[in-house]
Amino acid sequence: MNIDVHQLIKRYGPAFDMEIGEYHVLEGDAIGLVGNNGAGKSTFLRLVLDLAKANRGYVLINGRNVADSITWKAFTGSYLDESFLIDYLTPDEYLAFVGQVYGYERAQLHAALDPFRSFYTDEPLGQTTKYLRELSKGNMKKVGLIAAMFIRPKLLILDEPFANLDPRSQIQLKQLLGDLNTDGSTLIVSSHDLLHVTDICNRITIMKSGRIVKDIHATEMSYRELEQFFQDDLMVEEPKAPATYQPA
Amino acid sequence: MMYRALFRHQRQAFFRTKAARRNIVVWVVFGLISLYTVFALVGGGILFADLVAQLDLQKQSALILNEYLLGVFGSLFGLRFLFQRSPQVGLQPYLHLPVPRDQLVRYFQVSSLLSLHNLLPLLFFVPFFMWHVWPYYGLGGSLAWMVSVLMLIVASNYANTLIRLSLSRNDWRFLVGFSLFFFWLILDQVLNTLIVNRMSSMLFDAILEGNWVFLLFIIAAVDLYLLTTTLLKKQVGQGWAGPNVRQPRSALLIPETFRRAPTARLVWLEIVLMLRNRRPKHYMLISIFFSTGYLIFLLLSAQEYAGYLFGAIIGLFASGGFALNYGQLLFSWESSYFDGIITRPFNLRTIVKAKLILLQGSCVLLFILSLPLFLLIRPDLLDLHFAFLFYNAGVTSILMLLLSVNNKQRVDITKSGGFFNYEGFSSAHWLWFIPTALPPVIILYLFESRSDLGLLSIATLGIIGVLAFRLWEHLFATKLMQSRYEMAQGFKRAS
Repeated sequence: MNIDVHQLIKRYGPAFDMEIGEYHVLEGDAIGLVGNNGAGKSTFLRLVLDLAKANRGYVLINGRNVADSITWKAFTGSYLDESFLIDYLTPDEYLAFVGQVYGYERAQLHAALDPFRSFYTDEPLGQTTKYLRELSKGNMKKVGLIAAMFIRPKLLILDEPFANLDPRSQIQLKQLLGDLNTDGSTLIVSSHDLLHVTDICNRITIMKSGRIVKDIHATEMSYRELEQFFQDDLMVEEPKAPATYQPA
Repeated sequence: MMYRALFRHQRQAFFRTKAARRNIVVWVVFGLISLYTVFALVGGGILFADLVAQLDLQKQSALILNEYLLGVFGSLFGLRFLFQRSPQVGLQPYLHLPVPRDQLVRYFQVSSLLSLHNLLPLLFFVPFFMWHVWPYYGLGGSLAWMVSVLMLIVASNYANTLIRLSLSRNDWRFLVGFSLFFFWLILDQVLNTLIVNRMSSMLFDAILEGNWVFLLFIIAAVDLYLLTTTLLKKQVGQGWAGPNVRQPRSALLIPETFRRAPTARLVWLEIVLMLRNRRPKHYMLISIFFSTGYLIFLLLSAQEYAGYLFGAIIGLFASGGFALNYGQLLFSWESSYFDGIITRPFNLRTIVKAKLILLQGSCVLLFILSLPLFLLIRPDLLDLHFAFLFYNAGVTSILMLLLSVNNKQRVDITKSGGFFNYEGFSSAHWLWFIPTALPPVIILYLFESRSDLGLLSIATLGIIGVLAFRLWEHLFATKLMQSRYEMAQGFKRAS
């Protein structure tokens, strides 16, 4: 399950452009994509998922251009935001729909959802009554994450999966992602939470102003390194203080 | 001060919607429709006597109108229920502020009267009163009549709020009840029993003659205002949780038979979309109304086959109402989860196929639904109904799909589909009716003396369109492939 990015350029008017020369993801990688707001993380993920058209360049998944084929969708799970949820369905209806799309029989679906029953606790899965649009942000996100994960994807792409989740669910999510990765899934997870990223990822890619500025293997020191990076970034970008009055 | 700020917010909410920022063509079309509506209503009120003179009823205009007042207000109530927002929707953003809640409830109760459902009838009734009531009846009787009409409008306004507050969102109960009432109204007319007309005449004629019965309308309006105000205050006091609170419900899962058919899954999804979201549901109900209730009036109003234009209108709407109406915004209906659909392993041809089946299936369903009306009222127009079934399935549906694969505007499906909600429409949507309706009109015009040949040509066009199903599937899938990025980007833009 490889991803190869070649000379990828995406422009959104004069205010933003994203440019990634060469970037490769290897099978089994767990990549943490970090960067400040507006760094281009979500744009990059949208390009990988063929949700946006690149001005130049392309993304290959297992050697096939994502824009020209849909085969990669059969083994890719993703959740970027609420636009992935069909909000007038209940969680059960939505998960059943997703399961059917991937060819799950009812019994298979039931079994595939088992690892997630303690993750979604608003109502027991199988007995949900609220529509997705009636759920809290956190529960809505949990349903989206489950829908991306229960199909046991070979490639899993998530944007800010920890945001809006309560602490217990964050810990559970880390466990679930770790299990998937151990089973061979390749992960790309964008997050602002440096601690979570360093916990679950073996590789960390830092984006800034639409460019990949650092791509490192995660080690025990990664958290410090990341913290230092953003600390330095803060120093660079901190607006200069106005000149103070110096009495004669 | 507070009331002024609230009023300003309501004004801003109206002018800052995406619909208010449409291009000039949309505004011109919108302006023309509004002007036409105003002229038609005011003109109808002033020229009522001339209009009904053709019917040779030998009665005073006011007495003729009195016969229909109860029936008309009853029917309009159905539209009001579908489209008019209830005041509690606007209340929520203010509840956490240090503003007396009684004051808020009072403001939203009174401002709800500014709805078009209340203002449009006045455009007709005020001129009618000035021209046809005031000059012919005494001061007391005339004023009592006008007050009764006004109070009937006010009472309808608050009765709508009352029903919405009491039913929560289980509006199907009201819709079933109202449909029964509406069909009784129609039966009353068709069977010529005219019970409603007689009751209406008795009531309003008496008011014109100075009977105190008009006080009943005032009492009803005031009581409904007080009752709904109390209910709103109570709900606000109990920490009303917004419009999304529902009773527990069980999952509506796709039948096992269709689980393996991807097209069926997408059709199922779209049907659930229609049933659970306000605006698509309104479009669906309006289509059914066109093919049933409104069709009855169309069929009854023409004494004989009245030419090409009439024929085309009946034919297009009897079986193609849904395709024409709902079909315009296909894909936009799914704008809030379009990303979620195209990242899943769906073949684009499957998506297109599901849309085509939905539109063509609706033509067949509406054809069956309206068939008894043709058989009962105008069996001589059965050939037209059949010919347009094919045209709507083979041409109208295709043209609507062609229009919709270019949709790039986000649509909030939870909003009402009523007046002034043109979210998702571009100038193409306004103009698209021309290529859809023009071919059958031209064909029927050319074959006016041999309508059988004209209808045969229309049916043939439709049959060719239906037979070319796979070609459309391929063409639209290719088009969808090309426009998917623009659609995904456009649908993400918030209104």
